Amino acid sequence: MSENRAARHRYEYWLASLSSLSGRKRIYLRTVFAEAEALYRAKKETLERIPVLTERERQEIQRAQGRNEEQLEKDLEYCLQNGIRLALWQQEDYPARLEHIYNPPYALFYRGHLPQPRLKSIGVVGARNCTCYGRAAAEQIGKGLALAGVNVISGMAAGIDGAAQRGALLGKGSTCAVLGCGVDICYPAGNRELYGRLVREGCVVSEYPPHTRPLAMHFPQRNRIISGLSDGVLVVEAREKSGSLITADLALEQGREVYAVPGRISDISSQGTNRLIQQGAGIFLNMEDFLKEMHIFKKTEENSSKKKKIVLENSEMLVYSCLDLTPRNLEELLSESGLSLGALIKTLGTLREMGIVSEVYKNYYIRSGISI
Amino acid sequence: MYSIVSTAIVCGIRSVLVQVEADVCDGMPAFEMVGVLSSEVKEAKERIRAAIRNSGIRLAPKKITVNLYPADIRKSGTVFDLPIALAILAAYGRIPQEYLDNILFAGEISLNGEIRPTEGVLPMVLAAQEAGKKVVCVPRENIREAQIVKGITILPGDNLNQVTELVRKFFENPQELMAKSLTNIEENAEGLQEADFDFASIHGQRVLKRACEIAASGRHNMLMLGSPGAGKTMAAHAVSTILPPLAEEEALELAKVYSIAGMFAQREANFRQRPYRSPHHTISLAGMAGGGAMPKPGEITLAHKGVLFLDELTEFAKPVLEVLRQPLEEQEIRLVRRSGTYFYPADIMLIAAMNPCNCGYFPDRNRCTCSRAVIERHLNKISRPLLDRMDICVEVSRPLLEELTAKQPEESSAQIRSRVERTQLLQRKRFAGTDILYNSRIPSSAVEEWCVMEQEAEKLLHESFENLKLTVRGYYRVLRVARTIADLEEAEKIGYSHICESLLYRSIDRKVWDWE
Repeated sequence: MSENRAARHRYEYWLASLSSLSGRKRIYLRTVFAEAEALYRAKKETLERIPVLTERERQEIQRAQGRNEEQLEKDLEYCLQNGIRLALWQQEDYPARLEHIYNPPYALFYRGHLPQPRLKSIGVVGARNCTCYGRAAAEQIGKGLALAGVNVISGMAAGIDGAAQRGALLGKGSTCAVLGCGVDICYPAGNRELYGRLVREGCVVSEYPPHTRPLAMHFPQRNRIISGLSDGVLVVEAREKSGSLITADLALEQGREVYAVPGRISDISSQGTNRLIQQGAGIFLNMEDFLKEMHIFKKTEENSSKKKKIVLENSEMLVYSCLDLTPRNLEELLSESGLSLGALIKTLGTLREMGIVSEVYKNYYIRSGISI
Repeated sequence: MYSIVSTAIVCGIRSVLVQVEADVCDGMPAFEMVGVLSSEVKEAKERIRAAIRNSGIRLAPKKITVNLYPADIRKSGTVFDLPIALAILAAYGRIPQEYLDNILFAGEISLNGEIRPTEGVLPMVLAAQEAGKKVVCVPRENIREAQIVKGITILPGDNLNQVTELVRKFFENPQELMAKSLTNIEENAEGLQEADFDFASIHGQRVLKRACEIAASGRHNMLMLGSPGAGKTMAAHAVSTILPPLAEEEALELAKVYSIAGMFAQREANFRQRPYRSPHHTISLAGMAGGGAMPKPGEITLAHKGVLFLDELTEFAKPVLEVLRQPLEEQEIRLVRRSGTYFYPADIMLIAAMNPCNCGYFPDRNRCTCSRAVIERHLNKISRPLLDRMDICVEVSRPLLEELTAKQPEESSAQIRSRVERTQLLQRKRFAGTDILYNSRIPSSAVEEWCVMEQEAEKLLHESFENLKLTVRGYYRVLRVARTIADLEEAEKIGYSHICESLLYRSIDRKVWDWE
């Protein structure tokens, strides 16, 4: 249905692709001109009469007017072939949450299925260079939210963002990635697999037209959409100066709840989040409390999640107790457990087979499969 | 008059006999040399003329023609000075030709007639022995390497006059000189020299030590990953101290290599010790593989039968690392030049060390700020095929303070070496009748035959193949290492714990740094 609409509204597509103009200005122009086509055909003199446009913006519009209809038709064809759809300002599939933020995007390009508006949405963001602790937490949070029927919004970046969305997919929930490039581009390239799954099982959204490269200046803009699409934003790991904190600030401006996952005071990667808590952000202690505070009520079936009881032998218990979410290497485990090398290796092998310990890096181990 | 003198030239690792002919006749005085000569051989003309005159020998001005054959080999090097000078003297009738027959001469001459040391004497003497010659005359500085070859009489040359005297003496009374020259080098070659490094000086690091022992036992290649100052370099050096001494044949082959490289003195002191080479990462392709128009052995050949240690693996130029691939498979390096194809032995045990990321502190996120892309780029400097040839990969962390200061004695290299020797003996017995010497050299086609597993172990390995996404090559590598681990315990079959441990040492792949 929306493909047809995109085909009908060639000029709407043209205006949507005009990303050098802010969303606000485009919404204004759209109201002034009533039709996108009118702006497309607007003469220089007409444009000059519009007070809010700067000289540069006027030039941008004129340059964009140079794109002929054939080219637009070709672009639309490309979108159609790649399943890229367009949610336009004040049309039915445009996310209602975004309508009320400052500088809403004029249009959203998306692949996959936009989250149902009835669903609660939580933005999960954090550092790209995360620690094992952060990654495990993000994944568990993503999964927990998905199981509770919450939509997980994030940025598909390396580190926390990707982990949260992988977790959400693991929990078979709905998840949506907001990109800082065209939705036909996978950035970072290392997340190709996640990108593919999001297109199939979730949603990839961007305010930028297809083929747009991931420029650094796009990302702070992208962050306002992440927080805008969410009812609350949860920061998992962030350093003192981090892009994730910008998202948290934006979320506050937009009137969203901000939560942070606490970390050890010695961890640089948790300094930003601990600071947020100091400044009054909500503290994430466990999924149940968080959901309660966000007024999200789990579906009853999930409450009775079966917990497998694993019985460990003495040496296994010993090694397991030496491990947590901070990676430990063999040498540390040797001196902490007091086991012989042979015994330790064998025990680690068994624990790994059970799936409760994993090797995150050459000869570094953490606990795995812990639910938060 | 015509005369002929034997000498030799080094080609790759072997040596080929070369005949020097001289003809002196009446006519316009001239000195002509032919026979595909390089510039340093052509320059010999001037050196020889001066050396003969300065030795007090006056030669009448005549037309001298010198030919070196076989003509299909390009002659380079300075070993021809002495034989050419002697051939000319014989052609003038100053030395009877029969004095020179059946003796191989080699040596550089200085302008005052003194004989200077030269490179590659050992392979030349071996070539002489093969050709049935019983006597060689080499510079005095080189006689120690010549003495390695048994049953050869060595005439040490000091200067031109002394050599002419010596060959006369030898011709008149061969028995006396023969007896004198037959002292053998063996006496100081027994046993290993006291090493300046010992495993006992490395505290803690039990995982690393264990990995070193396994690697040495099966001659597996090893890669160490770890932050700066963790002790990677020290461990690599210590590995060379737990390797069993060279067999006599191996020692001889290695002495040949060092003789050609002009580094015989290094081998002489510790004849049976396995070499340990650690070239700096700025090494060139020719320095690593061997090369030049007339090839010289490179580091991989100098590390033959021993350890080649590459510190800061990621800093080496890519072609320098890629050149290792073929020798690691075939245990020799083939250099093709216009002048011919040269083979050098390169049966090395490769030990490499690298930092996990640019700053070296990954995965400690409090210190390391490298982004994923930076870390990936760091790892991408090493190609997949090279990583694939690393049997054992181990993480090295900084030792804990209590381990450093602990007073408990650590095992010495000698203790570990005795275990390594026992394990290698076990391998040799098992592989008797094949050309395999070590577990690491079992060809993929024969892995199933030699690496028999217990049922439990097989189940674990098959599960791991799926879970850890091992490559086929990786699968065989795990088995080979497990075989060595089992051999250390003298176990007949590979058990569960052996596979467990072997999996622990499996090589890293691109995904290691990537937690996603």
